[in-house]
Amino acid sequence: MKKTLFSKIVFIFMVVFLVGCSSNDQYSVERKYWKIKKLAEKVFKNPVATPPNELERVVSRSEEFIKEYAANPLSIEASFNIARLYIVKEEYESARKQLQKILQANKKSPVICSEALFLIGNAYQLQDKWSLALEQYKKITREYPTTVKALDIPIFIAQNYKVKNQPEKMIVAYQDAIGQYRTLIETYPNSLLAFNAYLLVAQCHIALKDWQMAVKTFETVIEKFNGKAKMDGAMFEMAIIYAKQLKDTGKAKEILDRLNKEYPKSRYSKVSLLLIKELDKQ
Amino acid sequence: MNPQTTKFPSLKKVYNNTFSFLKHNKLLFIPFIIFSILELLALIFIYISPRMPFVIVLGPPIKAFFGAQFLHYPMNFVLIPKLAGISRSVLSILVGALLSAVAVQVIFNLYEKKTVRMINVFKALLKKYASLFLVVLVITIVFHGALQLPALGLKSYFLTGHKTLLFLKPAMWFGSILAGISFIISIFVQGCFAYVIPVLVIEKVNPFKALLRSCGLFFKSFFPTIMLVGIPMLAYVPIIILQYNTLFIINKFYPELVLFVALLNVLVTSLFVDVLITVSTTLFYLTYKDNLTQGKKTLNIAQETQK
Repeated sequence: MKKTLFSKIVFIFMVVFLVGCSSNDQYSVERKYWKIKKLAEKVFKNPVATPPNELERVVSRSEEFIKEYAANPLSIEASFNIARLYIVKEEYESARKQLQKILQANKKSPVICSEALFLIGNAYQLQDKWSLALEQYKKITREYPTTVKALDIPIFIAQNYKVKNQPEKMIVAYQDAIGQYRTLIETYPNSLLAFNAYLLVAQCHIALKDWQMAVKTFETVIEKFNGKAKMDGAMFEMAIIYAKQLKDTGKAKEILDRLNKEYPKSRYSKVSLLLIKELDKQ
Repeated sequence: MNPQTTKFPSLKKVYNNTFSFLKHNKLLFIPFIIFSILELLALIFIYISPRMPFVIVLGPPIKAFFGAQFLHYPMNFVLIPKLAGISRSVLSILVGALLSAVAVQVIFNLYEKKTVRMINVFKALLKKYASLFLVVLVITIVFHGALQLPALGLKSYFLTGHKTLLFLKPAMWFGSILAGISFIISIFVQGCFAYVIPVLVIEKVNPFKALLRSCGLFFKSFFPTIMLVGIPMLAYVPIIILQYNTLFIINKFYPELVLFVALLNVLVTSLFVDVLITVSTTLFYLTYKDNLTQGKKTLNIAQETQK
């Protein structure tokens, strides 16, 4: 009697174990994808030395994976990986074709589309086709304005001019960025998006060395969003501007004191205490 | 010759006895085999915890205590050594205490040349389960507490603004040095409590007396006890090094290799380190007790002869 019960329990356990572990659950999909990713990593590490057949192998395995697990979010990651592989192997046309495929298949997802457009832009940029790249980047801010990529792009464009040593174009790009962020703030006031846009406006003013405007923007964001989001970062940056750029140590200390009072456990609190000591010495 | 040192048997003698006992009494391995099977089962459950249908039950606690990322491949392998350590501690308290006591009782019976019936030993020691549970619980708490101390000390030292300690940066201290310090501490703590179960089972004293007597004997026979505990534990060093480099193993080789290391850990710990430590320290304790009784008898005879 006891033996029969025991063997039944063991049998049930074995069945559950085997069924559970042999099925196509998320874990086994992740495992399959990880193996493909490891193969891709070899290409990413040394794209020049990778033979074409190796790239073909990774691409075909990725495509098989995408086909088999079309509904799984990892299939999108695999699709992007194929495009990135083509980019590192300097097969830009193939990369863009792959990204167009992703755009077609994910029309309803702004995040995926913005990422695909960004990579298309990257592919043009790597071919020194800046105007075509810029067209793609602007398309992101125009068509998917609420995505993270759209928030990053205006500053990305300005920084690109900075790297290319084109200060006039950089200034114009930063001013454009401020304009775009202000439009977002007006369209989505009091939202998290507006909060991030305000902080980015402040960053643009800092890049343009317009300290007064940067401080003013920080003041506005603190006034509008205090209590809704953490303001310690904004306060700290504002205090730094007052101390180092505007040479107003009194105002800097006042802000740092407020930071420590309102956010005693902030990651900035230790540094701010040290900064107050330094300001006291001055 | 110092009479104090003659009370303790030599390491050579203890090890000769240990190997002879293990060679001739395969029965001694049974409690350790049972424990290793339980540990392996626990390890299998840990390994399959992110998979359906086990994730339904095991997923929420892992998510709550460690984070959702550890339920995904290959990050679940990062957690395997930690979870295996926790399961070993829990099993030691719940079952290991009783199994160690069974092993000690079997050694004692064989030493006294009595017949051993495993089932009777089990039954007899089940009555002492509460005491055994309590002592192993105390030992586990002290063990884990002691292992936290160096990390806490280093944290407070470096958080107060120090950039180096003995010319070494925090990364070095919190890396291999901390692992080495933890290993040495674990030898000391194990040594300190090596005689608790032999005292509890053989002397039939209460748990707290057993703990105190074990500590006392450890300090009296410091060097031999450290050697009896430390030598088998050296087999654990390669596993510590491998487990310390879990992320490296995952990235450079295969994540499944972490599971293999964990399996190896179970086999080495339960079937080699634990066996050697338990048998050798129990035999050391029994020989020491014999020598002590023999010494007393000789003293009594001498006193009577003088009278």
